[in-house]
Amino acid sequence: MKWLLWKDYRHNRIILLLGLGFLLVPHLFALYALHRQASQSWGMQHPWQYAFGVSSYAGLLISLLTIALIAGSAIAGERVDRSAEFLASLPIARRTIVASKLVLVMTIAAVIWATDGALFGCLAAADSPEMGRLFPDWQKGLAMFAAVGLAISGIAWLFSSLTTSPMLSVWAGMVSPPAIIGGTAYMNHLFELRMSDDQLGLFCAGICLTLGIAGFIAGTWYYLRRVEP
Amino acid sequence: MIASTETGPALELIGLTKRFGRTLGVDRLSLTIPRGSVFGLLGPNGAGKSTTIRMLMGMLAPTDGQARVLGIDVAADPVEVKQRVGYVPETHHIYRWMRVGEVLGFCKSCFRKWNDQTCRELVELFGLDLEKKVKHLSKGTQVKLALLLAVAHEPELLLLDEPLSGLDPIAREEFLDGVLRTICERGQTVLISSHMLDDVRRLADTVGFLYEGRLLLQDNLDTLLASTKRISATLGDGCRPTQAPDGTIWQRIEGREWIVTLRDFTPEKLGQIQATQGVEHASVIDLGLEELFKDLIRGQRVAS
Repeated sequence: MKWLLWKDYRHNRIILLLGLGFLLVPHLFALYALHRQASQSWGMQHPWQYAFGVSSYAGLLISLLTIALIAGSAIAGERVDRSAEFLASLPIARRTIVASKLVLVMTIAAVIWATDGALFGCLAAADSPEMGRLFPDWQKGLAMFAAVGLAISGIAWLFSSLTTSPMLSVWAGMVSPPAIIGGTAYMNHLFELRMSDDQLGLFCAGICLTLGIAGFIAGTWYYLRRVEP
Repeated sequence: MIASTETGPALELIGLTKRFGRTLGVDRLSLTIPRGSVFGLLGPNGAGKSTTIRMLMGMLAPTDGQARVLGIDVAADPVEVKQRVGYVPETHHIYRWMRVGEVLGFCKSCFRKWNDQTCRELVELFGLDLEKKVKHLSKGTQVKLALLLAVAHEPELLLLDEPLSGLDPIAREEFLDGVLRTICERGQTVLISSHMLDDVRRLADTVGFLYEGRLLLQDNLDTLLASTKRISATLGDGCRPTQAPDGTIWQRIEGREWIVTLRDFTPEKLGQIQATQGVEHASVIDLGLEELFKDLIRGQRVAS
């Protein structure tokens, strides 16, 4: 399992480096902005809180792409370069292979949440007026991020298991939340359901969570049932 | 030396069938290969050799039938089959970003058994650079690496799918004489699919001919070559044989020359041909494996 984890990490090294960039770049921008505006402080009491609040929010947002890339490439990435055939010729149980890939996806998600998620949560919870103005419902925002992230990764994982195309899998994952949110809003309008924004958000988050979990379960189930690499 | 304590055949295929949509890849293939034998699986491109080997490795699900490898049902326990079998595929897809040393470490971690000494010897024999990345290896060197990976865990059965294509003659010789011969002498079972009939002739004791997914013929190689003959007969002017003799694999008439390739040849069969109306003279020609292969395939093409 240790060697498998190492292999999966190395196989997806470019995505991981890209993801690291997605995590760091917004904060580097924040540092740069703070440095340039050091004497003026933007007229705020805690400008650094505001800067890193925004950068961690931006980091969370673009890290959704990292999640999609890693989940979409997890299985299909080895099929497209046919290294999955080499792996399939080795005496490794498919459940071990899939578990290693799941661990990688979950680890990436955990790192994103442990850094940008935690930072954003802490800064937003500090209750500064600037953050309060910019993110009045930050708890709901974080919950929505989690639901959308789960939907993106679950759908990308499912497509990765079904197809040989990482591109298609990533695309399917990224498209799913806008499709869910747009579709729900359209249904609300079409059937005159008169859901409030809060209700609509909750409903979308529920669908995202369900689809994400279902995607992971269905993708794993299909991979385990399949004989071919 | 690895020798299975279990008895029973090394390979047992019972009505193994694989369909790809409407195309039949392997058609009700039934075959038994005893332990310790070296079996040459021959056939033209698309005959179903690779498909059969992939099903034996549990990398392709059969549409119908059953495959038992070393007494294990492949569908039920493919991981155990892979533990005990060495496999060299036709095309190599080893992780291109790995260094040779990393490939060896990765594969070693997957197998219960791994002979470090064999591994070291083959690294030296093949001149593999452990620091080199797979993507920087030549095709021939990738083949050598694949061969090393197939034998380093001391498999009881080797499945070789066109293993030597891409190897230069010297490396081929080294592998055939140095590695495969040792394996054959140890009593391990080998199934080798190859277009290089000379290599098969040198190693195999039994051969099977596949054509369009069907097993046309399976026999001990020496017996087969001894019992299959080509007969060249001279026909009288305007004479043509009305019927092919029993056991005809392929026949051709060109001008006054009638050439027949016969299975289960006996002097009586030669007598029958000589007694055929219009035959003025008939002589027997010995066949090599390549000629037998060609005649068998030609005969099937004419028949179909």
